[in-house]
Amino acid sequence: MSIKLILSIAIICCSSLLGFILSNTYIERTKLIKGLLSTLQMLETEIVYGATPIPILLKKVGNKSKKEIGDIFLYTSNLLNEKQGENFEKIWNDSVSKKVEGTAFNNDDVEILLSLGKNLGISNCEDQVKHIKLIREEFKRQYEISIIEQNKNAKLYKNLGFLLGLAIVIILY
Amino acid sequence: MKKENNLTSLELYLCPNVRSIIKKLPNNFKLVLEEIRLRINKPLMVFGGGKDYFIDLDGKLSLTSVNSYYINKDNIEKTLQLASNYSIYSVEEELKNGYITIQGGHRIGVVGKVLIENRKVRALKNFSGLNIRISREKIGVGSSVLPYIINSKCEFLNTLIVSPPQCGKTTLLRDIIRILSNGIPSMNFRGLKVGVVDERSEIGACFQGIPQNDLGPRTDILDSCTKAEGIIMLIRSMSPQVIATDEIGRQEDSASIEEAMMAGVKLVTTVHGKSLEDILSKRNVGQLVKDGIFERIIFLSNNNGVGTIQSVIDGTNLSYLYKLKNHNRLAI
Repeated sequence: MSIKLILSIAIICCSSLLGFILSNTYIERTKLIKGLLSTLQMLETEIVYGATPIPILLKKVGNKSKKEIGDIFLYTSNLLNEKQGENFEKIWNDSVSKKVEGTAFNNDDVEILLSLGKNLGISNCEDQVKHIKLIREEFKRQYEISIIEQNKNAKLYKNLGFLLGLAIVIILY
Repeated sequence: MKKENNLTSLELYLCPNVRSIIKKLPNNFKLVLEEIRLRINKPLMVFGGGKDYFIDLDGKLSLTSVNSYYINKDNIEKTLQLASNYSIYSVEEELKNGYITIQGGHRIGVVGKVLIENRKVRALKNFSGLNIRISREKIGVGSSVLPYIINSKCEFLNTLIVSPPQCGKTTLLRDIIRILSNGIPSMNFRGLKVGVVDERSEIGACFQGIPQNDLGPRTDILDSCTKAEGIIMLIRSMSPQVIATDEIGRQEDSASIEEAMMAGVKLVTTVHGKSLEDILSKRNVGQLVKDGIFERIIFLSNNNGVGTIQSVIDGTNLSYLYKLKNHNRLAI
């Protein structure tokens, strides 16, 4: 009897956890994009007022950003400092595709991140600001979408997980 | 300053394809290499020892463009990205003047499409050619003129260096600054506080504000500041005993120089020119010379190689203090 009880509790716990993890990805993404928005703001400020060169800039901003975003920045900064001779876009693409794995960013976000690398550093200050503003706008839109999705799905998956576990337990009895 | 391996440091700023070719250059040519030229859709060229050459893929110098490496857009863009540390915006102001200075004091001249706004260069884009000039700091070249520019009372005299382009004007000026700033114990000459107005970043070759050339311990540098304003700024802020600038000639310069004279500051500067008549005919500089502002005028040429001291003139009475004897050798 007690074994049955323990197993049932275990099943409910597991499926709740599953639901919790799923719902968490939505919350995570919202947080991540929010972090990215402020990172981009820092990037813009540094370019306008500091004219800091990219490798130093990425390191500086990377250290102040959320870990997932900071990782991409710091990794790129290290690659740039090696001066292998590749252009910035290539290096950025490599590090984004490498470091974005396992984060809550979805394909749309990655696309926008990649497009940031296309123009970063290759033009004058004025153009850089315009470019970063554009990227910020796009991420703002993603942020709104992300919040809507979060509201819609986060609670749903949490409840669904728990109820699924409950259903399994009832069926097994 | 580790200048002996300066080519190795420079190589890091070249795009990989060009880098591998430059690496293969004969070692004795590397020592005299002055310029590396990248022009879009044209063969890679180098200039050194007074002549220019094409290079083939194995790094051999040749006089024809057969088997040379042709530069493409990608080469230029990559080199520029490396040179600007992937940040064109951070060298924006320098680019407007047509060049950027990189670590080691080397300079990269840039041409391309220029965007003009209000009669001023707003930006440069579609880069089509690069000229990488290797900076060679020649420590000690100034010592030969010292007896002329420091008098018996151990006072420094206002000096003007006159030379045609590429004859070592700036190199000599730089070394004079270094010597003045260091002082000369053997002549019992204490170092002077030197203020440098480095309008074209050629004297100190500042990279992110830090001079890449040794200018001595008592030197303050205003990097890429216009001479007229820089001289006044330095007098007010850094109480220099000597002010050094290069390439004077504008109307505003004369006014600031007079200001400096009134403040009792000594001056060392350079001007483009060939002979005494040549500089006397120049409007602003000519007037300064006629006024006897410069106590010593040094003429350079490349008759006996770059940086030959052709003559030294006492600017107060225009008499020769030194004249190069071996005058019949023609420069080829």
